[in-house]
Amino acid sequence: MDYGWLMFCILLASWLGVELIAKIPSQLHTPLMSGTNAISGITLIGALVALAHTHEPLTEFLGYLGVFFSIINVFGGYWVTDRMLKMFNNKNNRK
Amino acid sequence: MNTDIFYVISSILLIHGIKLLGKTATARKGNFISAFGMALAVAATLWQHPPQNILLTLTVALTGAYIGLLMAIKVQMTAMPEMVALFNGFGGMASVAVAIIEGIKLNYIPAIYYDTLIYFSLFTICLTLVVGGITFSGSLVAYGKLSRKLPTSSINFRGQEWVDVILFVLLLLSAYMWIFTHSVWSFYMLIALSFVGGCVFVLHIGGGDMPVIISLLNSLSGVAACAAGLILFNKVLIVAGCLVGTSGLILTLIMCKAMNRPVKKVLLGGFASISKNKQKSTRGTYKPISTEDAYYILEAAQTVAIVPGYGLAVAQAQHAVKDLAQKLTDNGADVFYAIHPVAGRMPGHMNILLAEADVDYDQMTELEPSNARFGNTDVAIVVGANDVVNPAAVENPDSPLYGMPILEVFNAKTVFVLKRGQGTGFSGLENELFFKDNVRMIYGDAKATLTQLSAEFKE
Repeated sequence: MDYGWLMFCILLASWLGVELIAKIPSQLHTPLMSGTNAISGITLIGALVALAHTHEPLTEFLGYLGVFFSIINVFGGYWVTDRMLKMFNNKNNRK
Repeated sequence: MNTDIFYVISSILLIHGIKLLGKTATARKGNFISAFGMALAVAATLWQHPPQNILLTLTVALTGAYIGLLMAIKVQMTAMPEMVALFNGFGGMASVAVAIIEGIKLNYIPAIYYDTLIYFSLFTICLTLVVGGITFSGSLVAYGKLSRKLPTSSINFRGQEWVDVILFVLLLLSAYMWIFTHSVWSFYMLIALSFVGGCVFVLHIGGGDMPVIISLLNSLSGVAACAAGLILFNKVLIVAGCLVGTSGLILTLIMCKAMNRPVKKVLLGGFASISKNKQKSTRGTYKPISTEDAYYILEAAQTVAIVPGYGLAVAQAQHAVKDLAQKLTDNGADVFYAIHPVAGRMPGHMNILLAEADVDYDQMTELEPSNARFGNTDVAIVVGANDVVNPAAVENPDSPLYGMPILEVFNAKTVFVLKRGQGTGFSGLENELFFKDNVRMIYGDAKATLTQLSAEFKE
């Protein structure tokens, strides 16, 4: 993968991020934040890749540490977001 | 067959998920879709890079997942800001772990073999270390402040600008030394400095600026994930990290705009220097009122505004406030909740609390429509809000709050302020609202006061 493509990916994804968030009702700010926070746990993939290609006790330990922390982020983040959104949804259904 | 196709699909799912997350009706579905996208990306990664020790990896992963779920299930809605901060820090830590692993690997390569690719890796590792390290330690400090384990006000000392500058220079220096002179110790120096940097950075921030910082840290954790993706040339990491990074940044800017404070000022711990100056405020007297007298006024009110703030979260009074609103509605009054965009300690904090208490979101009114209604409002009840209702922001050009859009509750016929004591807000500023003629103070715990008011209606 060459650097031009990397740059292209970054710019495109950044522009998407801006476009997606630009108009959002303020009551969704918290769920949005915790939802995107869960997505930032995607670094779990990085930890898994790094862990798969390492053969030293120290780096292996760091790899497991990375997996451990990011998976807390992923599961906790998604669950807590769902908990919040459920409260919003309940009200919609009742109407 | 490689994983690219799965990474593309999972990126699309993540993007679509965020898009749906932006509308109330589809938000929950959006969260599911983005979780599914994440699961797909993880599955594809496991397939292409099978773990060396499956049993141990699984054990660690399941333990982490269990802890994460447990925390998410147990947490009180009032404690949401610190929970998000903590999760955020964990994400940052994971990125740091990836960067350290890759950095240690590169430290074994003799400098004569360095090529563009390795320099690129060195550079991205530095970026990940710094951003991830700041996210981790910064989020932990934010967690400490939000959960009141650390002092909530901004911590400033003389000469701190110099400490900041020196830290920054040392950070750049050690990154430079590691990349270009290949000294191993400066690599470890860089790690340590990033962690210290994050702590110092968030310690500066005052409690009132927390919504901005939480969303900025959220953005940084995305940037760290993206940088980790650059180290590993992992596309889905780059795309997802970027999405989180920019969306967090936009949210940060929205928050800053809502406070009418430039990002720079927030980051430098703006309020602190001002609160030291003894400001000559228009001192007057507080006019307390008993809950009984307050009841008679409320009973006659046609339109009632409820203005929640951080104090609502602290007192966990969201259900009590909803009960009172119900009593008022039954009594024939029109009730609305006036919500300032930066009320509370994270973006949208008040909306979440009120939603937990089953408040209809048609009743949650944003800043401008609320201000339009205060003129026709009989009673405005301020529950634990302070700076966001301080009239100095529109009346006193000398005030540091001047220019910040506020909820102009003083336009209501009568204002009740529920307050624990005679303290100032997080900005440390005297609130001129409390001295106005149409304002009455009801002292005591907000929850107890609200419950008493509701009880008056029963009789």
